[in-house]
Amino acid sequence: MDELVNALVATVTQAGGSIAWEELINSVDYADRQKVPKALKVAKAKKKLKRYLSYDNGVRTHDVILYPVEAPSEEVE
Amino acid sequence: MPFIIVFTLRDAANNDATTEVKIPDSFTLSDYTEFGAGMATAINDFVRGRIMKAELCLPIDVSGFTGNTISILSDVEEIGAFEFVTAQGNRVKLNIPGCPDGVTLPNSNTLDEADAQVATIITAMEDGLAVTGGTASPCDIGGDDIVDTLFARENFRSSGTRKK
Repeated sequence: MDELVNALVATVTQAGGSIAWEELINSVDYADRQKVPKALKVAKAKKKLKRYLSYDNGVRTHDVILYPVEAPSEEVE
Repeated sequence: MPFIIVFTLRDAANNDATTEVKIPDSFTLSDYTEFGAGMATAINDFVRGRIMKAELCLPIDVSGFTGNTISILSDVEEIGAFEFVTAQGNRVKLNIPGCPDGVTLPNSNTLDEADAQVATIITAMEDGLAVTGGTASPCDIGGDDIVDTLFARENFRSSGTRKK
């Protein structure tokens, strides 16, 4: 499962941080297709990937995006 | 207390059935209508019946869907039965009438969570929908956020109404 999670993270990263659901599903081998939803739950728990859904003006956007990374706090000397 | 949006669907036999989604009460009215229209679109993409109305006390405009042709194969007694769990472990059911036939796994009544329309319903319930005021994410009757899916499967159930 970790291997698939890493592959999904790499795919989303390579796509620029966001990829359409259908595109992500089609990026994996057919045998792994059913494992993607579970892998995304693992990735979400690890704060690596999350799903994004909107219907702006009725147009559906269903993407998988990199988890928003917070800026590291400045170290105080 | 969460607000409840009720969706009414009709099939080719002219039978109606409803399903509902609860949303925390922390959003504006326009956010609820925005969420309701989006969720109606997700359900409309998933089912074969026609969405007749979506209601949050004030009706939500689904006129864009009512012009759709009702598939001769539509049947509101075919249910897309989803069960989710909240952060505190409470179970939340979502039974969507008009479930199409082609979205189950082979030799099973389990819905294919990799299917685009099924995945959209699950994403809407687990992760919410982006609205102007943030992300409106469904919850249980106590306002506890839905975080996971326990199962998604096709069921059959009497709609309980007969119009002929």
